[in-house]
Amino acid sequence: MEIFEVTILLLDATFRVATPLVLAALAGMFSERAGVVDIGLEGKMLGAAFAAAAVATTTGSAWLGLMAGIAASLALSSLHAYACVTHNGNQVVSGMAINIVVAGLTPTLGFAWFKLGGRTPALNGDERFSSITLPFADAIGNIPVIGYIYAELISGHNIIVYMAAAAVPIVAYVLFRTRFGLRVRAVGENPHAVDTAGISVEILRYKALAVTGFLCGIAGTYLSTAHGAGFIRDMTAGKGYLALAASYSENGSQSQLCWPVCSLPLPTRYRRDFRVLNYLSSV
Amino acid sequence: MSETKSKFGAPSKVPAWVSLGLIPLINLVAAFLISGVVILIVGDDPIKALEVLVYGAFGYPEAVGYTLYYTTNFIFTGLAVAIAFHCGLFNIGAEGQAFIGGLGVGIAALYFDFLPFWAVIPLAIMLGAVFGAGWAYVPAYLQAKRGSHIVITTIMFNFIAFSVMTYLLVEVMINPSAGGSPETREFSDHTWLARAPEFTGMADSPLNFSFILALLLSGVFYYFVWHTRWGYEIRVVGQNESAARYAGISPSKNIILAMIISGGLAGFVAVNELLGVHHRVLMDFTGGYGFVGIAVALMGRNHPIGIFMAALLFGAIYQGGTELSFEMSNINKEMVIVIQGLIILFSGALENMFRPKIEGFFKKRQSLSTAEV
Repeated sequence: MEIFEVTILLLDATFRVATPLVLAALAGMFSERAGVVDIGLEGKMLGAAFAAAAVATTTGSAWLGLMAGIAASLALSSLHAYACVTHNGNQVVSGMAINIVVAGLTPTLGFAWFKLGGRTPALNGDERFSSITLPFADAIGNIPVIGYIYAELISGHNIIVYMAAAAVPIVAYVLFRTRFGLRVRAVGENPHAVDTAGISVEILRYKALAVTGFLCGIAGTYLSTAHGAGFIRDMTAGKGYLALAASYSENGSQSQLCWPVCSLPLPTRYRRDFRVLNYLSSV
Repeated sequence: MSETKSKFGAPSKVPAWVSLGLIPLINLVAAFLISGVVILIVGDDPIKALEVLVYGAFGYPEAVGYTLYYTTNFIFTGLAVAIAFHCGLFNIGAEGQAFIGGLGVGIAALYFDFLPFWAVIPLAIMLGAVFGAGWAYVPAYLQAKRGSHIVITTIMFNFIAFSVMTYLLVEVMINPSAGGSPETREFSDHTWLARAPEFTGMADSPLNFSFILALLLSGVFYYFVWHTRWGYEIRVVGQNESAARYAGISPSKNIILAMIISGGLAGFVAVNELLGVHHRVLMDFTGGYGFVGIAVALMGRNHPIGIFMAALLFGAIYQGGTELSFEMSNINKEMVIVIQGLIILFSGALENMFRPKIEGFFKKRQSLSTAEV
């Protein structure tokens, strides 16, 4: 029984750690499918994390923070699109530049505005997304196995974890069952054909990158206002790159996509010495 | 991808001073203008900040020494990224390669220090380059033979390098009397590289013999890329892989060659930092130089002279920026990173924003003047 409980708790932690990775990997997949390499996932998440925490702490509302996070990420995404699509710039250089600018800008602004050495003030109460107890979780929590799984594993996460879980089928539907999704996939595989069909490649790529920015914005907001309680410099710590690798590794098919992303935190939980990977075990 | 790749260093039909001087300058000015806006936002005076930055970088001999010391690192990483660019590759892993190069330097300086200085110093330099090259070999092999995306693999190899070095410094090579901080014992002093001589006034700065090495390597780089068959083959593969294959040049061989050289050059950062300054292997000595190398190579148009100028610029920003964070109340040292990022953005990603207009202006003038003749 103990092994069962440990497994459930481990999976529970995995859900929480995997949430930003799932969202960012879906974001990366969207731009990848539209034919734009986006190594700026990291920067977008970091920017969103900062904007969300800064707005949440000044307004006292986590939801306004989420809006700000998405807005910041969308702005960075448009910058990427402006450089790569409008001016045909190098996509890797652009993503890299965004990562570096944001890595410098967030502590600079944080230092100037909050005077806390680049952090934002600690968030509490309504400034954070708190965990939600699903209906009947307390009532059936004592039922062995099923009740326990429901109460511990499925219930008790914050809203963004459920958003990430919902995002997977939604993105799958949009990408594979809608006209917009078909066009996004077409523009990635053969932009000339799309152009010949009378559809604007530029506008389509801007739209796809907007979706990327939107998803990255949620992922970044999760880091600072749901998972953590405030912004810390470099708090993405390579998650954007991990997500990018995950979205590459499965060639963009969602059902497979989830697995590498979710399984990433598991082995690394036990390696507390490794500083770079340590953030994954800080659940 | 191939359409964006061939953009690097593509020939243009406007006067050389425009494409090599004016356009980079305009991009630079744009980056500084936006940086000025950021400084305004955080509530300081951008003009005063610029003054402090320039004085901090060139105002007195010791500052010049520091500037040149940073320049040395940027020349190494700039050349490293540039040789990969010439082959159409994007080496984001210079950071990790430099770190692993530090392991090579450390092994030579720690375990072979019974040798006299004329043997151990070349050995350390060589091992640093070999270790860096070895670290670049794996992503290169994966790209050449398996088609893995080299951007992804080199990024991931930075993380692996970091973890490997953390493990080695914490568990294996740690100096027990260093109070638990993850670093090795100090190298014995005959392995240290010579500092700048007294009469230059830079003896107190970390500037050392590596600067000469950087200049030498720049010359070798020029000769290798433009005057040897290997360099030619690397450039052909970078500009048109199918043409290279048709001409009997093996793309995979040249990808591996370019990346090995790239990694080796990145390893020289460890020579400057460890043999020249810190005299021990420690964490984080690579300090982001590998990433800035990308900006240096882009601004320098992958040419040694351009790389030297760009490296000097970034060296000045690094040194001046440190001064900036001491002098100005609302600016901390991350401002330097913002400026770097903006320079990469404008001179790399947005390089086509001003270029067509400026080139169009000069082309029009040229055709007018020829028509008059």
